This record gives sequence, C-alpha cells and structure tokens, in this order.
Amino acid sequence: MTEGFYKQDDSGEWYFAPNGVYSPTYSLTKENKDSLQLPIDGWDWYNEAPEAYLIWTQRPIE
Amino acid sequence: MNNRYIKAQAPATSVEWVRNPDWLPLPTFAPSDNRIAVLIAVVEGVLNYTTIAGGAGAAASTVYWGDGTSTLTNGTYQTKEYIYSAITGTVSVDEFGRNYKQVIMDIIIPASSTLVRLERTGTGIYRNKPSHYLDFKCQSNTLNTLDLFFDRNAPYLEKLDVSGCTVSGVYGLTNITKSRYIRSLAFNKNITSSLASFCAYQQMIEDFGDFTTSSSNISGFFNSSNIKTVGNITANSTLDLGSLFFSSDVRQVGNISAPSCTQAYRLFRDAVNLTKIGTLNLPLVTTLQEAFYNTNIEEIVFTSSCALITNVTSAFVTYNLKRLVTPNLTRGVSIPYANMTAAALNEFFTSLGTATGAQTITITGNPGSLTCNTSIATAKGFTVVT
Repeated sequence: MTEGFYKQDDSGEWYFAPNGVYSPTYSLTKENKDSLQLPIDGWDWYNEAPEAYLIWTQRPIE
Repeated sequence: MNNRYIKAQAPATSVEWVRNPDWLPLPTFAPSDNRIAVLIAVVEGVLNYTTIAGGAGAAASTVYWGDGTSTLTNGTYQTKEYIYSAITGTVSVDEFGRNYKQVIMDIIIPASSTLVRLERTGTGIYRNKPSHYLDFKCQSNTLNTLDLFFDRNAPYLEKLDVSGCTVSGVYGLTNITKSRYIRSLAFNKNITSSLASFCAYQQMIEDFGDFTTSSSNISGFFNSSNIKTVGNITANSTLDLGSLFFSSDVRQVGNISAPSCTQAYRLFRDAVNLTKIGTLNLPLVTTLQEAFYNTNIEEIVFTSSCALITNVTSAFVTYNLKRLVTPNLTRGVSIPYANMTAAALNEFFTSLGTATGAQTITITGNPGSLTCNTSIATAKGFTVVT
C-alpha cells in the first residue's frame, strides 16, 4: 500500500506520510483528507505513490 | 609469529599477545634516549632489506644495522640488504616453515633530528618487496616526523610501540594501518598531531579498551577494521571524528567525549553489527550526516547540547533504534521504521529545541508513531510525519 500524503520540498527531497502529518498550524490525516482542500503546504494525497517519488527513492546513496 | 589477537593498551583480562619466545629482546632504552629499535627477521632464501631516510650532517642518525655494520643517514634513502648466510646467531623456523635468523636495527637519533622515515619503497629490486620487521619501538621527545610506510611492506610486524614518543614527537603515523598482523599496539596519549586512519583496515586487534588521546584528528581511526569493542573515548582536542568507525565490525563502544569536535560525518556509518554505545558529549559538533546510518544501534543519547548541529541528513536512519535524546536539536530528522515506542518518541520530542524554520520529523513505522504525542514537537515548530 503506497497511499498517503506526499510532499516534495524545495530541495527536491520527498516526504511520505502513510498515516498523517502534524504541523503547528494543521493536521492532515487519512481520516480527514476528504474534508481538506489539498494541497496544503505542499502536501497532497495520492492513492498510489507518484512516479516522481518512486524515481527519487531509487536514487543512489553514496 | 603466533596468531592470537590482542588488546591494545588494555589490562590483562583477556587473551593477550605473547611475544614469540624465540625472538631476541629489544634493548632497554634510557629515559633520555632518542632511539628506534627494530627486530628484523632475516629469512633464508628471500630478499631481506630495510630502507631508511634520516637527517644529514648534525641531524644525521647513526644506524646500526644489526649485522655489525653501521651508517650515518644522509638525507637520502638508504637501503640495507641482509645476507642470511652472513648473519650469526640461532636459526629459528617461522610459521611458514622458513628458516630465519634475527638482527636488531638500532637507530640513535640526535636531538637536532626531526625526521626519520622507514620507507616502503626502496628502489630497483627492493621496490615494494616486504621487509621482515617483527617488533618495533621508538622513543623520542624531539622527532616531529616519524613516517612508517608499513602499508604493504611490514606484513609480519606484530608489535608497534611508540608510547615513548611525546607530545608532537610523532607525526604522520598514517601508513601503519595495513600491517595486518599487528597484535600489540601502544602509542602515547599525548600525541597531538593527526592519528587519522591509524588503525584503519586492521584485522587482528579486536578489543581496544579505553581510548584517550590528545590528537587533533582521529577521523577514520577504526575505519573498515575488525575492531569489536572500544571502551570510553576521551578526545578533548579532537576536531574531527569523521568516519571514526565507518564500515568497521565494532559491536560496542563506551561513552564518547570530544568537546572540541566540530564534525562527525559518518561516525558509525555501515557498522552493521554495532548495537550499543554510551553517551555522547559533542557540544560543538555541527554535522552528524550519516553518523549512525545503517547500524543496529539501540540507543543514541547526547548529554551535550545539539543546538549547533545543522546537518542531520540520514543521521539516524537505523532500524533498531529504541531511544533517541538530542537536547536542543533544532533540525528535523528521519527515523522511519525504527523501534521507538510512544514513550521513547515523546522523550525524543521533549529533548528537542525550537525548530529553525520549517523542519520535518519522520517517525513512520515506529511502534509508537500513531500513539505518541506529536503536539510536543509541533509546539516547538516541527512538523511530524507518521
């Protein structure tokens, strides 16, 4: 299962939250996602991992 | 040449190296001596040599080769070839079944000399051929450069003792590291110059005991070595702990105190058998990038403030982590699929400082990730990803 919240920051790094994202100003959970106006702060919901994220996870780590 | 491992600078509580009883004893040094003594095997049927370079003129060392001949160093490389048939003394048999005799090379170093090299690369037929050093001792309070180019040419060396070389008296001890048979190692804790990579790639030393050093740089000291345990590390003057245990076989390390250290890049990276370390006192460190990456470490507890750390990229990506305490850390970290309970995560959040700008903490896949109190971290400005 790869559904969840995904975000790519300005440096190109990806974040994946299968359950939720908790910040000082908002909370995103898979339970409340349908009531949210996404994207919020770069976070968006995907039913499957986006291809760009998959590509990023395959990058070589030195 | 026996094959038992030893502890370096440790009490006799475990198997210790035993000097071969067939070996000639090295001379006893007087406290005022500036001197090197080396036991050398002269093996029948093979090339036997040593190459040395020392000062010239008033800085010349007197080299007694051990076969009745001697020379003065002259600022160039000088190679001595030993002829087995010309050596007097008892014939012994090594573990390879070879007959050998023994000489002791004795080097008297004048106070004005600042450089002695035992050079791995002789010239011509001597180039890159192994010499047969067995036991090496140096004592000096004047030398500032002692280059031991043993990385491939002293494969039979079992003991290295430079404990008699005092503050700044030894320098450039970087090429000893591949003498894989070394089993007994002693150096002076007051050495201030670099010991970078000194024990890298060592295969025989497994238990190091406590490690106290004044060296400014111990980066890579145990890199890729077969070390298993190290006691407490006290490195008050060390600025660089980078790759200290990188890709080593270390299992357990005591407390680490390096109050002057500014960088610990890859400190334990790829030490896959590491499970336990003591506390960490690194108040000035700024980078922990990959410091604990790909280890099996259970607890990472800083007793010092982590407020100066700006780089924690992949620092804590280790899947057995049960406890993480980073006082005043202001940067987000990723600890996915570790082994942290809700209580452990709450403890970690509590230890944090205030986030510097937008900082994200990823705790996905931990046992406590869905039940911990994320508000402890969000109240400090962090975003928590579960």
